[in-house]
Amino acid sequence: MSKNANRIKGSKSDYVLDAIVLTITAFVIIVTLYPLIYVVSMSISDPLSASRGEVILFPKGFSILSYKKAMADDAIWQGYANTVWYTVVGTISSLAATMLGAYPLSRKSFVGRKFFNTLLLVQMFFGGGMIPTYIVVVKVLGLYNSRWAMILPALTSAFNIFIARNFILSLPEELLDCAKIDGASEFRIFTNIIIPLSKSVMSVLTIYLAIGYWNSYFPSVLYHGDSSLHPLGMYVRKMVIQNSILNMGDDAMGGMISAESLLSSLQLKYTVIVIAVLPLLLIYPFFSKYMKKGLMVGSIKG
Amino acid sequence: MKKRLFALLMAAVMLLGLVACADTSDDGPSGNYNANLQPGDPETWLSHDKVTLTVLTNEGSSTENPPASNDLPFWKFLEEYTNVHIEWEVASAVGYTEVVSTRLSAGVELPDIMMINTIGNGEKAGDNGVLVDMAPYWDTHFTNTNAYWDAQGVDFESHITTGDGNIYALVGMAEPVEGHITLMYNTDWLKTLNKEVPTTLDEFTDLLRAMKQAGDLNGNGVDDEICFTAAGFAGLMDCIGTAFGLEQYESWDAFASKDGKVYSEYTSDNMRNFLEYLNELFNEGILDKEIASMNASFLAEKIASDRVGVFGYYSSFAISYGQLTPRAQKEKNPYGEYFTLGVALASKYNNNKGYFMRRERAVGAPTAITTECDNVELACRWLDTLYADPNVLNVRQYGIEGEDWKKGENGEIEILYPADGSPRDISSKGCGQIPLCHFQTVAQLTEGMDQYPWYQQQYERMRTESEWKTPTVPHLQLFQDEEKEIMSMYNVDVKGVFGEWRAKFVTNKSNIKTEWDKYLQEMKDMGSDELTGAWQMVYDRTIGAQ
Repeated sequence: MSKNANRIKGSKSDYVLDAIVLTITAFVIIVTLYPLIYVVSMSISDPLSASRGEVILFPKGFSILSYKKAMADDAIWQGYANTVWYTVVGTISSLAATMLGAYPLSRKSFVGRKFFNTLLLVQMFFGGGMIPTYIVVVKVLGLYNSRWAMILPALTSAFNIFIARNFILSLPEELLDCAKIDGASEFRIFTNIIIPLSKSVMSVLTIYLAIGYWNSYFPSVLYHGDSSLHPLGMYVRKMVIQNSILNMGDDAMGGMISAESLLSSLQLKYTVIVIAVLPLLLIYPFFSKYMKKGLMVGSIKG
Repeated sequence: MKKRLFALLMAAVMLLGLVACADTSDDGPSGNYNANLQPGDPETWLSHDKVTLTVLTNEGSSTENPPASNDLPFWKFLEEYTNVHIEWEVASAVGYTEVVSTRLSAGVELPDIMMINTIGNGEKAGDNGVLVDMAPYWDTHFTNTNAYWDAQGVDFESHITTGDGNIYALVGMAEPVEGHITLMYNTDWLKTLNKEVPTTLDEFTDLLRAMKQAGDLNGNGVDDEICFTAAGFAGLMDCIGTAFGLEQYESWDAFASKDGKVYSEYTSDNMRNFLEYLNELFNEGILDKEIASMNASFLAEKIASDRVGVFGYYSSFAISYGQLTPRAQKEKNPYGEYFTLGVALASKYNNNKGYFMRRERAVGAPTAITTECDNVELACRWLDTLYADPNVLNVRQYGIEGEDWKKGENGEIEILYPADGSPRDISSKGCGQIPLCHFQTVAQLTEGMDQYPWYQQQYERMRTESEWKTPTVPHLQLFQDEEKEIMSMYNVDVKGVFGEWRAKFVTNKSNIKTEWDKYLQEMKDMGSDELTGAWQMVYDRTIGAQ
């Protein structure tokens, strides 16, 4: 008997629904993929074709001149190194702080649990504002021109703590009771039971945090006068906004700009975008299953 | 008795406290702050002992030029010249607005000197006590700056003085005429049509019509030629507005004056004639159909595909955009003439005298001294030296003496060229873009131009064969309270209504002949008259007062 014979024959409305779902999915895929392909195509096309607007989807001609130019710039490597540092150190620190915050808030025996939960909830909706934050970071913590200015001000977020707390709440209470009866301290329960059982939520948080740190640049705008501390995001922004032809024209106010600069400035921004997102694109497939899981984590209790 | 003694003691303590708290440094200029200079110290030094000032600026708008640093020859020269060492804090140009606003609002970790975004911001920060009022030092410590602007005929003080008479920031300076916005003509198309560069509006119109009639001038077999385009509607006003008697340049607010009376150009007959003319070109298929959304990038794209006959933009783009044309790419000749510079068009609207508008000189980003600066007088002197000391100006404009120029027998500047024939490179020495005072120098504007004799010749023609008109209403950046109030109430609305109607009139969405009165009424309703009144106040206290 063939496999097809075992299939349940769908009704007409099922086929219509499938068709609608497939159409919408195809549309979403195209809308998502097009900019990505376009950016890559622009970055490797012949500079003149790129400037003439001849690139619609696939590359027109081939040139890696802009890649050579971008990679010859020390600032991009400095930005890369800084971003990797911020991402690795930031993710580890934030994850540790988030789990350490979530665990006590999930314990019913924790005195003041309700109060701290409310406190967290309040700061989720009302921030301190940019200027008070600046004063705290610069004057109180003394983090001006420090790498930690990228990490400490946003070390934990209430949202992430709630996700982790809800996950821990979903773990069977009996497990923790057993550990306690066996004489385990809170710290031991946390390190030997909670952490190993929370791998899935920690994976999801790791992805959220890592993407957040990878893309973060604004704290650097405010707190880093020293350009050697700037992350890659600052470099990308500079290339995309500051080095555009439009800008060069307006700011040149009649100054001499070579055609080579005009051409390379247009292509360079696409190249820099590719260079900046490449690591995330390469890593994402390995973590996509956790991302899917993450959509549900913390949303259901029990 | 004990009580009396106690009271006496308290009074003495208070008196001592007051004396100790008295801040002599803020009593205004002492005029002898550099008295510590000793015989033998160079005359140009501002202090015998090396003094350090901290300065916050950004990387500059062009990534072509290196950001300020003590490694650059210009800043090395300035340190030797003034004996003042600068500790630079160079923030990214992207997001600099947020950096400045946050730091001025927070008032912490401020440098001695900082470049701020707008002079209006400076006024606010000055009122909050974060910036130093330089007015008391103006006559005594800014002697070079005063002399410079007086010689230029620019009332610099009115550009930077707030309503209550304070000076919280100096605005930067721009070069007067180099690299002006003008019309540029496709050299090949001119040749094919056997036409010369037009000097009158009629000749210009004839040329555009001839281009349209000729059809496939780029020879690609497709009807894709654009006879006339620019970087948007504002770009059109910049390049041919003066042919209609308008005073428009670099998106100024459109107000002018005649016999001491300010009028709005937005609602003038000149503007109507100008828009009617554009509408005519649009209907004939001569004006770019996409003019409303045009910018420098789209302009480059269209020129690179050989579709443009005439365009208006900064004159130096005749070189760079010309290099994008297919012929330039084919010939591999970067020095060729692919676009020819035009002159200001004469017409019946400007009494047959074509003219360019002189650029406002005081337009660059402002620089201020913060109240955290311990040595305000020295900071004032240092800024004055940077801005307008004649020797420093020479280095800014021409490069390092002995390397890039030398003084001739009569003291004139003689430019020196590299022995190996390579182009002069002043910008990489820090002279192209000087933050804090001069976002653009002649060095930057003319660097490399010597390799284009045709351009230099045409630019000279443009400069000498056209009139250069000074705006009849000064385009200030700082207004008095009443002016500010009126402007903040009406400016955005009036400009918005004008922009909408301009696009509708030109692109046939409204009929200029039948709906002009409706437009005038809407402008009036939006506060056009009140705005004109505010500019009349500006005029009366500046040009009028003189």
